[in-house]
Amino acid sequence: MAVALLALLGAVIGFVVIRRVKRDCESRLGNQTRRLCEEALHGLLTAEIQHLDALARLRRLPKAQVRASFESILREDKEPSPERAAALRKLCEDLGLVALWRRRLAARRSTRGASRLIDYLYVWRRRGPLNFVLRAEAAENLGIICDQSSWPLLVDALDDPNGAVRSAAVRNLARIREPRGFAALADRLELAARDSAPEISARCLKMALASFPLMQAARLRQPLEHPHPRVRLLASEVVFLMVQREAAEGGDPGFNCEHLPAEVAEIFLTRLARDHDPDVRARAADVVARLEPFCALPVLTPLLGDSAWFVRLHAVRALRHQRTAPLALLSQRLTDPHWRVREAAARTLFTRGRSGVRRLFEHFLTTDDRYSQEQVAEQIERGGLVAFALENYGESGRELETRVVEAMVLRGFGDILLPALRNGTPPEKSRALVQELSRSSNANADLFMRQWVGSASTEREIPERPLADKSRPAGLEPDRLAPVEVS
Amino acid sequence: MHASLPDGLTLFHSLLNVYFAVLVVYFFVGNGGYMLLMLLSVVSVWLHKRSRSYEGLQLLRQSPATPPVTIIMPACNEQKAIVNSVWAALKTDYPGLEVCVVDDGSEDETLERLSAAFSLAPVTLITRPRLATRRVRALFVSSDFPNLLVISKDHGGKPDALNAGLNVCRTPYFCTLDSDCILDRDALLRLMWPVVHSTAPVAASGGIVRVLNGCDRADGQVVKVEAPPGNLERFQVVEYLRSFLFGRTAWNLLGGTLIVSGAFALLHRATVLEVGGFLNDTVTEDMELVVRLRRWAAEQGRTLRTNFTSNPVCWVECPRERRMLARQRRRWQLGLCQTLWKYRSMVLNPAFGTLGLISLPFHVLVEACGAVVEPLGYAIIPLLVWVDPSRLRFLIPVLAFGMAWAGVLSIAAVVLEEMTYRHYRSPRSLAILLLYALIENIGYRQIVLLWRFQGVVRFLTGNHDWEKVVHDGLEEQEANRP
Repeated sequence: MAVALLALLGAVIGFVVIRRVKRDCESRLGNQTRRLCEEALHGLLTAEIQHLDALARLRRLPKAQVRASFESILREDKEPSPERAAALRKLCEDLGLVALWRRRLAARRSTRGASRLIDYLYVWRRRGPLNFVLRAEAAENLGIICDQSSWPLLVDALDDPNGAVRSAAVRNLARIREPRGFAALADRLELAARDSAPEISARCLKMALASFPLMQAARLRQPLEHPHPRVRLLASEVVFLMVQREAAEGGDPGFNCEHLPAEVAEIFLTRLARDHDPDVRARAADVVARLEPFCALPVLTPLLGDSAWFVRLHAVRALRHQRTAPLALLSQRLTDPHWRVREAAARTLFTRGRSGVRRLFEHFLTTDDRYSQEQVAEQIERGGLVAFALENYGESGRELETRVVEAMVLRGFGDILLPALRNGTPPEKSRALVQELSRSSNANADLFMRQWVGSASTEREIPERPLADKSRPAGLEPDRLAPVEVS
Repeated sequence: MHASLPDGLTLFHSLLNVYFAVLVVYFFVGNGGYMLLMLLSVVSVWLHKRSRSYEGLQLLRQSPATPPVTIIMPACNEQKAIVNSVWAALKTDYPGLEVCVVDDGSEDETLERLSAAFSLAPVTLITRPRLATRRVRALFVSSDFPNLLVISKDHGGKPDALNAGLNVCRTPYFCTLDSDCILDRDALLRLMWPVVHSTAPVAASGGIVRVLNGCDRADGQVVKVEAPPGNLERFQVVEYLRSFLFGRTAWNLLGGTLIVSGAFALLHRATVLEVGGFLNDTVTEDMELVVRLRRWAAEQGRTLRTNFTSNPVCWVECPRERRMLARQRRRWQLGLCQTLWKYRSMVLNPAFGTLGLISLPFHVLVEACGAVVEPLGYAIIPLLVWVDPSRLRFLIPVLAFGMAWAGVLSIAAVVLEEMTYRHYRSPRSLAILLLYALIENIGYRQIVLLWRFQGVVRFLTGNHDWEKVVHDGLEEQEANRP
């Protein structure tokens, strides 16, 4: 038996070596074909050769290798330019690859239960048009070349017995962006949200639906008004993601939902923002914030005082997109019972530029709420405002900054100032601050003075640098910081 | 012969025979089990490899619906490796990625090197810790990388450092990553893929860990995979292939996942917080957490999935010295015993499904008890021969059969790698791996068994100290780092 096992080992090693040699040969041939395919494609794109010439060249190559080469090119082309995508699509069509992929995708076996095993076993028959790997690959290839006319096949594939094919169909419907594909996906939202073991995962569906243009959102009207809160939540998340994606693609921070269908906007304003489910209200706040201020602010204002903390959090964050929202609405939330809301309020105020920073400073000076002071102090540090405040310390017309610096020390936030004082603050400012503080009998001031004198030699020397310049609000660039007015 | 032996020796002889029978049963259960796991994993790995042709990572990369992730990287005295590892983590291809490095009271220059490389500045962030940890000394953010946060804290061990990271983590998922690891650029996307496509909530998703030693690196990435130069490292490559491609893949298929390697694991933050974070009552916090999560889910009647996928790759530096390898293996064995003992009520408990009925009993019998049964077996064979020299004619083929069977399993792991992912492209590397798979069971296996046996002894004697494995570091190159 031991001899038999050793013989088996020898056979396995022999098989591996032979296979390696064979694969290397195949790989060399494949690379050669792929290079020729790439050359033909490049020639087409640079107009060096005509489409028919390219086709003739490719038809002279072995069919299977051309197919493999094109499939590999498609998989590696993460974001082909429109011209390249069009050339690829035309070549794939004329080489008969699109027809082949369609045939494969359509050749579905109705495998359920135990017979699913047969489906798996078909994997080993590489040429078998019936196995699920080939169906999923076909769906992927048709999606990559954005073959619009394949959408009905992809919709059919949403009911494929194999999960991998269903997922591939969902993703590639999103790539093709055919409106009827959106409707087919939207129809499955309810099942994904309510079923404990849905055939398509809710996340995958959400991701796919969010890839469609925002104007398609009208098809979500039914799930948005569905009696089940999870369906409403999932649908509102899809709309939010669509809005977010379009805003990011447009690169416009002041993006408003002009493409959001009016009936959907109305559902958000009149129903979802007042939904009895707090998750739905929170998500609705994110969408409403992108609407015009005259209709958004009256809806967002009550959400700032919502009983659920995360609804308040979403509403406060949402106000970043409402540049005309009164600052008082935000500064009220600096004393919110939940720290995440306070933090969001401080950050949102910071994004409002000079006026927001002024409001933060004023709040810091006037509030007695320790938690609120902590939050503002953190924002002052994270926002890189320490150096700004110290640079302006004691200057005429900069009373607010001067008072904030002193208040930070007196209220026990002096350690935030220390790195900046040790590195880069003009000595005359430091001296002025010391003189001012030495007149105080405050314990925090004493502690701060001791820390300042004693810590430099014992602590690790880590230089203070301006933080997160990208997050600095407009108008607060270091070289042209305007004085903050005291109100 | 029995008739001529004194009574005491006859009893001894009988005991030896009984033990030999136990050994044979252990051998067949162990190797038979591994053989089944191998057969299961062959299909699974092959299918997974094929799925790369239709996985559609691009949508995951571009979609605003992709859940953001924080990489939590605990580091203690990792001055040699830390900068390259953080750099590789920051270059990971993932939308909405945060990196949180936790300096767990390093006494070397870990923090200083991080500070110099990433322009760190101290901040006073307000955190609301949900998990108790040792004192956090300071927090630092980078002016070059807004998504990098460094926590400096008192030394409390890896679980404590992970908890400190978890306290500041805001993303729905977090990824634990050892500070001596390098991630493939798309590893996190691939790890998230099954989470997004799963129809049930996924609490943990793990990927494959491969040996970094001997590989060429550039720009924070592994660019060429070769068999490492040292003997010890080559054996470990074979072990890692066997463990990850066989064991974990097959257990995942059966639903009996017991461990998601903490070196590289994606976890659901809220669920981990709900079960109390990482605990330091075992020295393998990753395994303990996975078993605890599964027990908690079963007790709560919740569907919770733990996933293992064989193509997101994390490259880890394996020990080059025998002393360090011994420490690592003792710790792993100790952690296994601690976890199995802690959750002994789950063993053979039908309430926990495959985990309780198959996976845990297999690990108890083969992985935990095997570290005692097998070394004692090696000690008993000479005794058997001494008592009855005629047995030699029987024992030699049995031993040869055992070695050959184990060799088949090791070689099958290398073959599976060659048939699927084929990372080791050069014929030389393949030949080396096949050779080391063949000879692994002569010498190396026995040494590792001895260390594992020591791990069991440490468990039984209550010596539960964490043995630190010091890495040589990923000292290199990185020409185009800013």
